[in-house]
Amino acid sequence: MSTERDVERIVRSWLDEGVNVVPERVLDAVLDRVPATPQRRVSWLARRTPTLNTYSRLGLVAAAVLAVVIVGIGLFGKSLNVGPAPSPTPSPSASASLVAASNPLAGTWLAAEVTCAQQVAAIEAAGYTAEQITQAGADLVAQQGGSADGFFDPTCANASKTDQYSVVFDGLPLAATIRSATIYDHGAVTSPQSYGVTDGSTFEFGNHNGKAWDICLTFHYAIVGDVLTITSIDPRCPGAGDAPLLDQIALTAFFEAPFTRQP
Amino acid sequence: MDTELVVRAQRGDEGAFASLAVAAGDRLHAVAHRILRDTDLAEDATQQALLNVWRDLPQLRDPARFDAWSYRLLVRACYAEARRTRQSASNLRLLPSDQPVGADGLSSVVDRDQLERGFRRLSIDHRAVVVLHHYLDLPLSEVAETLGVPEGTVRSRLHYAMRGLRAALDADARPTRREGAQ
Repeated sequence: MSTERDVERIVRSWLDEGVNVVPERVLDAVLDRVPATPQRRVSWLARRTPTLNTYSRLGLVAAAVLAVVIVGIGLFGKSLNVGPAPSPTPSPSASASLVAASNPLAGTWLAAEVTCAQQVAAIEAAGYTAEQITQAGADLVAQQGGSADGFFDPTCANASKTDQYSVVFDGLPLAATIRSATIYDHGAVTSPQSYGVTDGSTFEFGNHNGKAWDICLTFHYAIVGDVLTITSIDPRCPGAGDAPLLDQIALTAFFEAPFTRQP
Repeated sequence: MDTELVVRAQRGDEGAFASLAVAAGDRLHAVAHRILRDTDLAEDATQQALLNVWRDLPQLRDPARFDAWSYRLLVRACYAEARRTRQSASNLRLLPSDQPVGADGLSSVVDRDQLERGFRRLSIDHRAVVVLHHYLDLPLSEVAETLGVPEGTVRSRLHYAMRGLRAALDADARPTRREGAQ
């Protein structure tokens, strides 16, 4: 009777025998079909920041504590310094006001809390059919590997769940006219995004890879006082194809309620 | 794997993908051939897996994980090929079973034959675990990650697969020993 080690050794030896080179015709067939095979771009919903586990949360807390300690030491150390004052540098508030002057969206915006039913009603009011909404829910489940418990679920599987969206248009440049943005739900990061202000009433929003838009939608906006209103959506941007249905529907829900500028 | 190539291919660079396919093609085909034990099926699975790599590359979050991710797509393609054909042992060439037993109690010719039979009796789930662990030398944790199943499931599959292969080998050894004792 053979021992476990005998069997393992024989199996390994047996597996080492055999084909090791892919026939050229296989590669040729693949490369011939690539130009006609579109790549599946990922919805921005599926790119949302994954839920942090306990260790990740502890790590972030530790990093935050360490940052506070370092800043504290720096401030304390400066207070002990003697000698000539350092040369003046531009203050952060001066930089922020420059950004705000050229970019009216720059800043943090918060919407009111909404239920899933309210969001679905807004999607239907925008002209999407129940079938399209169901399809978007199925796409979301597929992209997230079997669950739709993210910050928006078109199927409203959890009817009692509410969302409160905020968006930070933060002004960090990603490309010539493209800057970063971050979407939050109840204060938790859900999705890093990109945007570009086209003019005084239009901006583009989606996934920008640094060279071109992977997914992009065009929005019209109006700012009255401290209130930002998104009034219409075009599911594409100049030079880019239609955004996936899921993105169209989710952003309809996301931008449905007015946002208020936060300090 | 060159992550720069992966990133370029993710952005739709067909030339970069061609380089990736050439670099990854041999190892993917080798694994497919060992799981499916059939040249035609292995070629079809490799071809489909490479096309799926191209199609789904933008969804790969960490380009450094390309190798493990591509094995996952390959194993899925193997499942699909196996389901599509279901020809299991029909093409197996049976070797003579009265080969002399070697000094270690195992004859290489008989072993191959018995292993081939035993392996073909395994499900694709079990074959994939055996090949990823014993051919690619992936640790069980990586096999679990590649297949998208818990590590305990991998251990269980490996245990039952190796038990099946051992039984196949012993089934050959027992009658030969009895004959030798007469």
